[in-house]
Amino acid sequence: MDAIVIGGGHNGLVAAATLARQGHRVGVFEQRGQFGGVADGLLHDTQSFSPEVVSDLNLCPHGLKLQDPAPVFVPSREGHGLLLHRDPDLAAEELGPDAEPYRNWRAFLDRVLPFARAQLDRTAPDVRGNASLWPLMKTGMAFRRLGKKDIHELLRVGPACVDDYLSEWFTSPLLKTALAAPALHGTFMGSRSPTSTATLLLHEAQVSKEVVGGALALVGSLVKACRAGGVELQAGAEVRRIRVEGGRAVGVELADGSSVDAGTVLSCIGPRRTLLDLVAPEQLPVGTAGHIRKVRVRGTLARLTLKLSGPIEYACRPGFAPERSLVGEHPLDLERAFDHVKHRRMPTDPPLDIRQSGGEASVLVRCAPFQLEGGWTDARRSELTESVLASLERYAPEVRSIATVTETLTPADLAQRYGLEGGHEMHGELALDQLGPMRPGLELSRHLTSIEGLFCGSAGIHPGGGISGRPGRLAARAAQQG
Amino acid sequence: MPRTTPFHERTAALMQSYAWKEWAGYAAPCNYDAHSEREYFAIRRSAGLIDVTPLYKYEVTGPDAARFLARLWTRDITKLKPGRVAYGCMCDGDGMVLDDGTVACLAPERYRMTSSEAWLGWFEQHRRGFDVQIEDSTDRIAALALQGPLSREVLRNVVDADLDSLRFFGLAACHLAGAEGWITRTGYTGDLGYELWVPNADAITLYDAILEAGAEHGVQPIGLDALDVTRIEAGFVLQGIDYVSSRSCLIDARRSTPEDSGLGWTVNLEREGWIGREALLRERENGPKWNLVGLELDWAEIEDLHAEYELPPHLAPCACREAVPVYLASGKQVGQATSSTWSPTLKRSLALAQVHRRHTSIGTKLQVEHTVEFERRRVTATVVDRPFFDPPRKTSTPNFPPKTPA
Repeated sequence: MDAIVIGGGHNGLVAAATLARQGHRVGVFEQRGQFGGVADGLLHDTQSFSPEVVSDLNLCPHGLKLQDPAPVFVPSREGHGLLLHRDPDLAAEELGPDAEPYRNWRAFLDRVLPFARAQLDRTAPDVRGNASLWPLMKTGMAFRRLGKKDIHELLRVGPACVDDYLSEWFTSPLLKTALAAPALHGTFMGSRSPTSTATLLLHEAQVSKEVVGGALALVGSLVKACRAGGVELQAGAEVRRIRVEGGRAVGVELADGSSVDAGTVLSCIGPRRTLLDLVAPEQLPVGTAGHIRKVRVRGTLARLTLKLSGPIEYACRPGFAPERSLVGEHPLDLERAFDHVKHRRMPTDPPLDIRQSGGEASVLVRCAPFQLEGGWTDARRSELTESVLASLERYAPEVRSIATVTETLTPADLAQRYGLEGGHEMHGELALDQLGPMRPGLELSRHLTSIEGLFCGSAGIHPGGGISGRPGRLAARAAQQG
Repeated sequence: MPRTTPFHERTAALMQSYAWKEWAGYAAPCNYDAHSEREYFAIRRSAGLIDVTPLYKYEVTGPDAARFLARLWTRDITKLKPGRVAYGCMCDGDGMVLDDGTVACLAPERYRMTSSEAWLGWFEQHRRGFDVQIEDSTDRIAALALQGPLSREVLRNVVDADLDSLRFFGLAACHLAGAEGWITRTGYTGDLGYELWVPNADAITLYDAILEAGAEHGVQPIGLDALDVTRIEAGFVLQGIDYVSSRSCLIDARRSTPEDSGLGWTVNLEREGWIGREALLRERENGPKWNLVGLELDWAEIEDLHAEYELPPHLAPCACREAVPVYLASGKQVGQATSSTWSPTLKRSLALAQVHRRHTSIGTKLQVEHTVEFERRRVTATVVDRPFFDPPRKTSTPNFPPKTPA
């Protein structure tokens, strides 16, 4: 085997398929019984998946179909709620007085986001002292080409909180909530937290098309692409240790005690677990260990799976069953939700991120603290289930009669099931000090480690993100270059 | 406010001079009466009893305890056998010394380390990946040192360990005045001596038993001033005086590698995986800059110098911890003497000094600053071997190798 990929999540599959297309013999070791990682039964949005990966891996012949992201419905207790399309033309009718500002805002994003998008699809700049300045200068020049006005605007709003920023543009709380909520995914922030505008822009830069059939369909075509490339996919194979000899990765040791040799090891699980748990502490320079220990991984995500006897409809718009909906009607609802996280409390009236299709709904709660005071127990899990249903019931009073909760996954369950440290779906919080070259460090952000032949490519590495495939693709490239 | 050790009830009653100082947060006696001379001679002629409870103590246990300690210490603790103690130091990632101390192997997977500062946070930073439990036992275990040529005789009546077989840097679990604890053949005086470790509750009983058994041998309670003289005679460095822990240095220049601080002998650069090794390998390539040496000051010159001012030669009443510059004859400064003392046993004026590597060979003549009447003068100092004082009794063991009947 030329290369071993640890972790068969979306990034692991992307990395493996990328390496296989270059003619490498690749094996993927996944501890769970299925592939896909958080794309398998946890996260449901695929709109951040990288178009570069789709074309690099030629995924469309492997059954991948893309479409514009479905609009998001935000129910309200008074009025008729808001159905928000990304396209300003489609959104105009629902937005009323906000229609024109929304068009202008999208135009602003269309001007500035290509710059950000380009950074997401390339290796983080090397800002160590001995690095070549040329790539940095190129990035700087591309930034300057945005023009004085937009540069000033970006520098002005980046450090601001998303609530203030969106209030400069819009009046409708429903619209502001719909835009602000995804900006907080993977962060440890509320809508009033400084720098949440920067993560909003980051999120917007990642969005493109979504996969028809959702995350599971995406995983299916990634698995197909791997098989087509001759990748050896091993499920139920937990890597216990990365073997290092003389400062070089030489293979892995599996939980069953067997060893596999390979000149390249590419870890697509979190960087903290990779370096602190899979590499013997003696093999890791103390500086690297010290740095990686500082990476913050406080998860806030929980998920309910509902079996539906009929579609979820909201009282404010009867007869309409949106595929995507967002419960929470004011940016301050997001801030209050974060208060619960901050104080390690069980959330009450949590905002919800819902996706329903085919008689099933996935409900994501992004304000369930991993470090809940007193810890997560069966009783606390039931409490969370009840809290989510109560929150949903405020807008969809019939929900209890049509929905049965088939599963509630607390952050502790996620840590257990998916091997996520801190229950964090991105293996590291999105925060200004944990992005770009700092995600999660000057060396690691370029997918390299201090151990020769060991590379990292999960969402904990630049450029982060949900189901995006970007870190996996960049890590595979780094591995090819050695 | 300093706290008191479990021996305080006794040490306070013996204290005549009210000379207490703070040691790691505890009140510790400097000397019990007006001068430390009587205590000093107890150590060198009989035995001195020192309360060393303020030493930081950590119990490190678990399947990976040895590996964990071997990662943090310069010594290979995985090779330390039960019943043995190792002296060494801990470095940071830059190879700069954090602290020095001992690690004792009480039993397989069970170690006790001592240090001069608190390191629980450092341990917590590095414990991930090791199956190990760490407990700060400083407040729970009382420690006494009995040091001096008669210490073995005194302890014969107090502990049930086989003292004639207990080797230098050996350890035995035993009863001490009836209490379960440990005895180690370690100390900070360069003499025959032992350290005794018991739970706090048994501290007073043990203290009384030793003084009672030692009454006919002239055993004295000892304060830190006499200890300081003996440790300089023994050539031991003191963290915070002869070198500064890398953690407390405000500037890089203050930091010391093990070689710089005279601890180079505790380092094995061939061994892999310990914190600081990579940096020290690089240092080895560039050549270390400093080394710690023993200096003997020319007494005749000191006498002459004072005579110039019509003064009798002045002896400091105890060890001096004020660092003074060390020069070449040309006047160029090449280091600093960090501890110095008059040795009442050797009748010589001694110093420990950090000196540029080029000027550390035995016999090198250097100049040490010496102030008389507020004027900075210099006296000749010769680089000499450490330890200055090294009696055979320090390491000899009557019954080792074990005597076999003829």
